[in-house]
Amino acid sequence: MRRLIALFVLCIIGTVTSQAYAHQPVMDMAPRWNGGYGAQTRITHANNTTTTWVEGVYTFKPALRMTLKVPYRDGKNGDAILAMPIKRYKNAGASTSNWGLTPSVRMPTGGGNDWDAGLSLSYSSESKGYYELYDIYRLGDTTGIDINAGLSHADGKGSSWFTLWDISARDSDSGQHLLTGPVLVYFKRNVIVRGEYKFLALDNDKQWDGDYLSIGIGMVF
Amino acid sequence: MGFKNLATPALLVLLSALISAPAWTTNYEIDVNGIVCEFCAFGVAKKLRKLDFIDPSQFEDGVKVDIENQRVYISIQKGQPYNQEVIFEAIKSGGYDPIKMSPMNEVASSVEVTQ
Repeated sequence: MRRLIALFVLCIIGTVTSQAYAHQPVMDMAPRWNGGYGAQTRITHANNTTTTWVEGVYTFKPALRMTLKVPYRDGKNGDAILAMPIKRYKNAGASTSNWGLTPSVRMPTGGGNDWDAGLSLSYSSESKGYYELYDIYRLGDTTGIDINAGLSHADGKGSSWFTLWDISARDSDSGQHLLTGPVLVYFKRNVIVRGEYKFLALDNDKQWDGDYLSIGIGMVF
Repeated sequence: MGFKNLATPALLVLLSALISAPAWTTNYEIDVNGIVCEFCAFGVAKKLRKLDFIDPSQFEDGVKVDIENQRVYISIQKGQPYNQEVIFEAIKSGGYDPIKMSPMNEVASSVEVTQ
Protein backbone atom coordinates (compact mmCIF):
# COMPACT_ATOMS: atom_id res chain seq x y z
CA MET A 1 0.00 0.00 0.00
CA ARG A 2 2.82 2.39 0.93
CA ARG A 3 4.52 1.67 -2.38
CA LEU A 4 1.35 2.62 -4.16
CA ILE A 5 1.07 5.84 -2.17
CA ALA A 6 4.70 6.73 -2.89
CA LEU A 7 4.26 6.00 -6.60
CA PHE A 8 1.08 8.06 -6.61
CA VAL A 9 2.92 11.00 -5.01
CA LEU A 10 5.67 10.75 -7.64
CA CYS A 11 3.07 10.69 -10.40
CA ILE A 12 1.35 13.77 -8.96
CA ILE A 13 4.68 15.61 -8.88
CA GLY A 14 5.24 14.48 -12.45
CA THR A 15 2.15 16.19 -13.72
CA VAL A 16 3.40 19.62 -12.71
CA THR A 17 6.92 20.22 -14.44
CA SER A 18 15.72 21.94 -17.06
CA GLN A 19 18.94 22.64 -16.94
CA ALA A 20 22.32 21.34 -15.82
CA TYR A 21 22.71 19.41 -12.51
CA ALA A 22 19.43 17.67 -13.22
CA HIS A 23 21.02 14.26 -13.48
CA GLN A 24 22.31 14.17 -9.93
CA PRO A 25 20.82 11.75 -7.42
CA VAL A 26 17.97 13.07 -5.36
CA MET A 27 19.84 11.82 -2.34
CA ASP A 28 22.80 9.59 -2.93
CA MET A 29 22.94 8.22 0.57
CA ALA A 30 19.34 7.38 1.24
CA PRO A 31 16.88 5.82 1.15
CA ARG A 32 18.81 2.62 0.59
CA TRP A 33 16.23 0.34 2.19
CA ASN A 34 13.43 -1.72 0.70
CA GLY A 35 10.31 0.39 0.30
CA GLY A 36 12.07 3.60 1.36
CA TYR A 37 10.90 6.88 -0.06
CA GLY A 38 11.73 10.52 0.26
CA ALA A 39 11.17 13.99 -1.09
CA GLN A 40 13.19 17.15 -1.15
CA THR A 41 12.90 20.64 -2.45
CA ARG A 42 15.83 22.73 -3.64
CA ILE A 43 16.10 26.33 -4.67
CA THR A 44 18.88 27.01 -7.14
CA HIS A 45 20.10 30.30 -8.52
CA ALA A 46 22.19 30.38 -11.69
CA ASN A 47 22.22 32.37 -14.91
CA ASN A 48 20.20 35.12 -13.16
CA THR A 49 17.35 32.66 -12.79
CA THR A 50 15.92 31.11 -9.65
CA THR A 51 14.53 27.60 -9.98
CA THR A 52 12.61 25.59 -7.44
CA TRP A 53 13.02 21.85 -7.72
CA VAL A 54 10.61 19.32 -6.27
CA GLU A 55 12.21 15.90 -6.17
CA GLY A 56 11.05 12.49 -5.09
CA VAL A 57 12.68 9.10 -4.72
CA TYR A 58 11.34 5.61 -4.17
CA THR A 59 13.55 2.62 -3.39
CA PHE A 60 12.18 -0.69 -4.55
CA LYS A 61 15.19 -2.46 -3.07
CA PRO A 62 18.74 -1.25 -2.31
CA ALA A 63 19.79 -2.05 -5.89
CA LEU A 64 16.93 -0.22 -7.59
CA ARG A 65 15.42 3.24 -7.13
CA MET A 66 13.19 5.55 -9.09
CA THR A 67 13.60 9.31 -8.95
CA LEU A 68 11.66 12.20 -10.35
CA LYS A 69 12.77 15.85 -10.52
CA VAL A 70 10.49 18.65 -11.43
CA PRO A 71 11.75 22.22 -11.94
CA TYR A 72 9.59 25.32 -11.62
CA ARG A 73 10.80 28.79 -12.59
CA ASP A 74 9.49 32.10 -13.82
CA GLY A 75 6.01 30.90 -12.99
CA LYS A 76 6.26 27.96 -15.36
CA ASN A 77 6.90 24.26 -15.11
CA GLY A 78 10.07 22.95 -16.69
CA ASP A 79 10.95 19.56 -18.09
CA ALA A 80 10.72 16.75 -15.55
CA ILE A 81 13.42 14.11 -15.32
CA LEU A 82 12.60 10.53 -14.51
CA ALA A 83 15.51 8.26 -13.63
CA MET A 84 16.07 4.71 -12.51
CA PRO A 85 19.29 4.42 -10.50
CA ILE A 86 20.64 0.88 -10.40
CA LYS A 87 23.13 0.46 -7.60
CA ARG A 88 25.55 -2.17 -6.48
CA TYR A 89 26.55 -1.75 -2.84
CA LYS A 90 29.59 -3.03 -1.07
CA ASN A 91 29.63 -2.93 2.70
CA ALA A 92 33.00 -3.60 4.25
CA GLY A 93 33.78 -2.97 7.90
CA ALA A 94 33.83 0.78 8.50
CA SER A 95 33.00 1.80 4.96
CA THR A 96 30.26 1.47 2.42
CA SER A 97 30.43 2.18 -1.28
CA ASN A 98 28.32 1.79 -4.35
CA TRP A 99 28.52 1.85 -8.12
CA GLY A 100 25.53 3.35 -9.83
CA LEU A 101 24.25 3.18 -13.39
CA THR A 102 21.37 5.56 -13.99
CA PRO A 103 19.33 5.67 -17.17
CA SER A 104 17.09 8.74 -17.30
CA VAL A 105 14.67 10.55 -19.54
CA ARG A 106 13.85 14.26 -19.68
CA MET A 107 10.22 14.71 -20.53
CA PRO A 108 8.76 17.74 -22.32
CA THR A 109 6.44 18.68 -19.46
CA GLY A 110 7.60 22.29 -19.82
CA GLY A 111 5.81 22.76 -23.09
CA GLY A 112 8.27 21.53 -25.71
CA ASN A 113 8.20 18.40 -27.79
CA ASP A 114 11.67 16.99 -27.27
CA TRP A 115 12.45 14.00 -25.16
CA ASP A 116 16.05 13.57 -24.03
CA ALA A 117 17.68 10.38 -22.89
CA GLY A 118 20.45 10.28 -20.33
CA LEU A 119 22.87 7.86 -18.74
CA SER A 120 25.11 8.32 -15.76
CA LEU A 121 27.83 6.22 -14.17
CA SER A 122 28.67 7.02 -10.59
CA TYR A 123 30.70 5.79 -7.66
CA SER A 124 30.40 6.92 -4.10
CA SER A 125 32.11 5.82 -0.94
CA GLU A 126 31.65 6.71 2.68
CA SER A 127 33.68 5.82 5.72
CA LYS A 128 33.98 7.21 9.21
CA GLY A 129 34.88 10.80 8.55
CA TYR A 130 35.10 10.77 4.75
CA TYR A 131 32.73 10.89 1.82
CA GLU A 132 33.31 10.98 -1.95
CA LEU A 133 31.10 10.88 -5.03
CA TYR A 134 32.17 10.73 -8.68
CA ASP A 135 29.64 10.96 -11.45
CA ILE A 136 30.02 11.08 -15.22
CA TYR A 137 26.94 11.49 -17.33
CA ARG A 138 25.34 12.38 -20.60
CA LEU A 139 21.88 13.98 -20.75
CA GLY A 140 20.57 15.43 -23.99
CA ASP A 141 23.44 17.43 -25.54
CA THR A 142 25.30 17.78 -22.24
CA THR A 143 28.19 15.70 -20.97
CA GLY A 144 29.34 16.32 -17.43
CA ILE A 145 31.52 15.23 -14.58
CA ASP A 146 30.77 15.88 -10.91
CA ILE A 147 33.07 15.27 -7.99
CA ASN A 148 32.08 15.68 -4.35
CA ALA A 149 34.63 14.86 -1.68
CA GLY A 150 35.18 15.86 1.90
CA LEU A 151 34.83 15.20 5.58
CA SER A 152 31.96 14.09 7.75
CA HIS A 153 31.56 14.83 11.44
CA ALA A 154 29.03 12.79 13.41
CA ASP A 155 28.01 13.88 16.90
CA GLY A 156 26.95 10.36 17.96
CA LYS A 157 23.46 11.58 18.76
CA GLY A 158 21.84 11.12 15.40
CA SER A 159 23.11 14.15 13.55
CA SER A 160 26.15 14.86 11.43
CA TRP A 161 27.78 17.47 9.23
CA PHE A 162 29.40 16.90 5.88
CA THR A 163 31.82 19.55 4.61
CA LEU A 164 32.55 18.77 1.00
CA TRP A 165 34.16 20.36 -2.02
CA ASP A 166 32.44 20.10 -5.36
CA ILE A 167 33.83 20.25 -8.89
CA SER A 168 31.35 20.26 -11.75
CA ALA A 169 32.42 20.35 -15.40
CA ARG A 170 29.99 20.61 -18.31
CA ASP A 171 30.38 20.29 -22.08
CA SER A 172 27.40 21.02 -24.31
CA ASP A 173 26.55 22.51 -27.70
CA SER A 174 26.84 26.00 -26.18
CA GLY A 175 30.37 25.43 -24.85
CA GLN A 176 32.14 24.36 -21.69
CA HIS A 177 32.18 25.62 -18.13
CA LEU A 178 33.56 24.49 -14.80
CA LEU A 179 32.14 25.35 -11.40
CA THR A 180 33.74 24.62 -8.05
CA GLY A 181 32.95 25.42 -4.46
CA PRO A 182 31.98 24.25 -0.97
CA VAL A 183 29.05 22.07 -0.04
CA LEU A 184 27.63 21.87 3.46
CA VAL A 185 25.28 19.03 4.37
CA TYR A 186 23.51 18.50 7.68
CA PHE A 187 21.68 15.36 8.72
CA LYS A 188 19.37 14.90 11.66
CA ARG A 189 17.68 11.52 11.84
CA ASN A 190 15.76 11.37 8.55
CA VAL A 191 16.15 15.01 7.57
CA ILE A 192 18.82 16.35 5.21
CA VAL A 193 19.69 20.01 4.62
CA ARG A 194 22.16 20.84 1.87
CA GLY A 195 23.67 24.13 0.76
CA GLU A 196 26.29 24.74 -1.92
CA TYR A 197 27.92 27.69 -3.58
CA LYS A 198 30.01 27.14 -6.69
CA PHE A 199 32.20 29.69 -8.38
CA LEU A 200 32.56 29.86 -12.11
CA ALA A 201 36.19 28.82 -12.53
CA LEU A 202 36.29 28.28 -16.29
CA ASP A 203 33.85 29.78 -18.76
CA ASN A 204 33.65 29.05 -22.44
CA ASP A 205 29.92 28.65 -22.49
CA LYS A 206 27.64 31.05 -24.38
CA GLN A 207 24.63 30.06 -22.27
CA TRP A 208 26.22 30.09 -18.82
CA ASP A 209 26.74 33.21 -16.76
CA GLY A 210 28.09 33.47 -13.22
CA ASP A 211 28.13 31.40 -10.05
CA TYR A 212 25.73 28.75 -8.79
CA LEU A 213 23.84 28.63 -5.50
CA SER A 214 21.68 25.79 -4.20
CA ILE A 215 19.85 25.33 -0.91
CA GLY A 216 17.67 22.32 -0.21
CA ILE A 217 15.86 20.34 2.45
CA GLY A 218 14.61 16.77 2.26
CA MET A 219 13.21 13.90 4.28
CA VAL A 220 13.27 10.14 3.91
CA PHE A 221 10.95 7.54 5.35
CA MET B 1 24.75 -45.16 14.48
CA GLY B 2 27.91 -43.89 16.11
CA PHE B 3 28.46 -40.98 18.42
CA LYS B 4 29.73 -38.79 15.57
CA ASN B 5 26.57 -39.40 13.58
CA LEU B 6 24.41 -38.36 16.52
CA ALA B 7 26.49 -35.42 17.61
CA THR B 8 25.96 -33.24 14.55
CA PRO B 9 22.14 -33.32 14.48
CA ALA B 10 22.03 -32.96 18.24
CA LEU B 11 24.23 -29.89 18.03
CA LEU B 12 22.04 -28.40 15.31
CA VAL B 13 18.90 -29.01 17.38
CA LEU B 14 20.56 -27.39 20.39
CA LEU B 15 21.67 -24.34 18.37
CA SER B 16 18.25 -23.99 16.82
CA ALA B 17 16.62 -24.16 20.26
CA LEU B 18 18.99 -21.51 21.57
CA ILE B 19 18.21 -19.19 18.69
CA SER B 20 14.43 -19.46 18.93
CA ALA B 21 14.19 -19.87 22.70
CA PRO B 22 13.02 -17.14 25.06
CA ALA B 23 15.83 -14.70 25.49
CA TRP B 24 18.19 -15.03 28.39
CA THR B 25 19.36 -11.51 27.85
CA THR B 26 17.20 -8.66 26.66
CA ASN B 27 19.80 -6.54 24.92
CA TYR B 28 21.89 -7.60 21.98
CA GLU B 29 24.59 -6.04 19.87
CA ILE B 30 24.90 -6.75 16.18
CA ASP B 31 28.02 -6.02 14.18
CA VAL B 32 26.98 -4.57 10.83
CA ASN B 33 29.29 -4.03 7.89
CA GLY B 34 29.36 -0.52 6.43
CA ILE B 35 27.00 1.21 8.83
CA VAL B 36 28.86 4.52 9.09
CA CYS B 37 26.10 7.09 8.57
CA GLU B 38 23.01 7.53 10.72
CA PHE B 39 20.99 9.12 7.94
CA CYS B 40 21.73 6.14 5.67
CA ALA B 41 20.97 3.76 8.53
CA PHE B 42 17.55 5.21 9.21
CA GLY B 43 16.02 2.30 7.31
CA VAL B 44 17.78 -0.32 9.42
CA ALA B 45 16.32 1.15 12.60
CA LYS B 46 12.94 1.47 10.93
CA LYS B 47 12.90 -2.18 9.82
CA LEU B 48 14.05 -3.46 13.21
CA ARG B 49 11.47 -1.43 15.13
CA LYS B 50 8.73 -3.16 13.18
CA LEU B 51 9.64 -6.55 14.61
CA ASP B 52 7.14 -7.77 17.21
CA PHE B 53 9.68 -8.80 19.81
CA ILE B 54 11.54 -5.49 19.99
CA ASP B 55 11.15 -3.69 23.31
CA PRO B 56 10.43 -0.05 22.51
CA SER B 57 11.04 1.05 26.09
CA GLN B 58 14.79 0.59 25.67
CA PHE B 59 17.31 2.56 23.62
CA GLU B 60 15.52 4.67 20.99
CA ASP B 61 12.28 2.78 20.50
CA GLY B 62 14.16 -0.45 21.04
CA VAL B 63 17.02 0.20 18.61
CA LYS B 64 20.24 2.20 18.70
CA VAL B 65 22.64 2.63 15.79
CA ASP B 66 26.27 3.13 16.74
CA ILE B 67 28.10 4.35 13.64
CA GLU B 68 31.38 4.76 15.53
CA ASN B 69 31.66 1.03 16.05
CA GLN B 70 29.45 -0.19 13.17
CA ARG B 71 27.02 -1.78 15.58
CA VAL B 72 23.32 -1.88 16.10
CA TYR B 73 21.90 -2.43 19.58
CA ILE B 74 18.47 -3.93 19.98
CA SER B 75 16.34 -4.73 22.98
CA ILE B 76 14.10 -7.77 22.97
CA GLN B 77 11.08 -8.04 25.21
CA LYS B 78 11.73 -10.43 28.07
CA GLY B 79 10.31 -13.89 27.49
CA GLN B 80 9.58 -13.18 23.83
CA PRO B 81 10.91 -15.71 21.38
CA TYR B 82 12.99 -14.16 18.67
CA ASN B 83 14.62 -15.35 15.53
CA GLN B 84 18.09 -14.17 14.55
CA GLU B 85 17.37 -14.85 10.90
CA VAL B 86 14.44 -12.43 10.97
CA ILE B 87 16.62 -9.79 12.62
CA PHE B 88 19.38 -10.23 10.04
CA GLU B 89 16.83 -10.11 7.22
CA ALA B 90 15.50 -6.80 8.57
CA ILE B 91 19.02 -5.35 8.54
CA LYS B 92 19.64 -6.61 5.00
CA SER B 93 16.41 -5.08 3.76
CA GLY B 94 17.65 -1.88 5.41
CA GLY B 95 20.62 -1.94 3.04
CA TYR B 96 23.41 -3.33 5.23
CA ASP B 97 25.12 -6.61 5.99
CA PRO B 98 24.93 -8.03 9.51
CA ILE B 99 27.88 -10.10 10.65
CA LYS B 100 27.18 -11.44 14.10
CA MET B 101 24.80 -10.97 16.98
CA SER B 102 25.73 -11.41 20.59
CA PRO B 103 24.14 -10.70 23.96
CA MET B 104 25.29 -7.57 25.71
CA ASN B 105 26.74 -7.43 29.14
CA GLU B 106 23.89 -5.60 30.93
CA VAL B 107 26.10 -3.51 33.20
CA ALA B 108 28.71 -2.62 30.62
CA SER B 109 26.16 -2.07 27.86
CA SER B 110 24.32 0.77 29.54
CA VAL B 111 27.56 2.71 29.79
CA GLU B 112 28.74 1.78 26.32
CA VAL B 113 25.54 2.60 24.49
CA THR B 114 24.87 5.95 26.09
CA GLN B 115 28.26 7.28 25.09
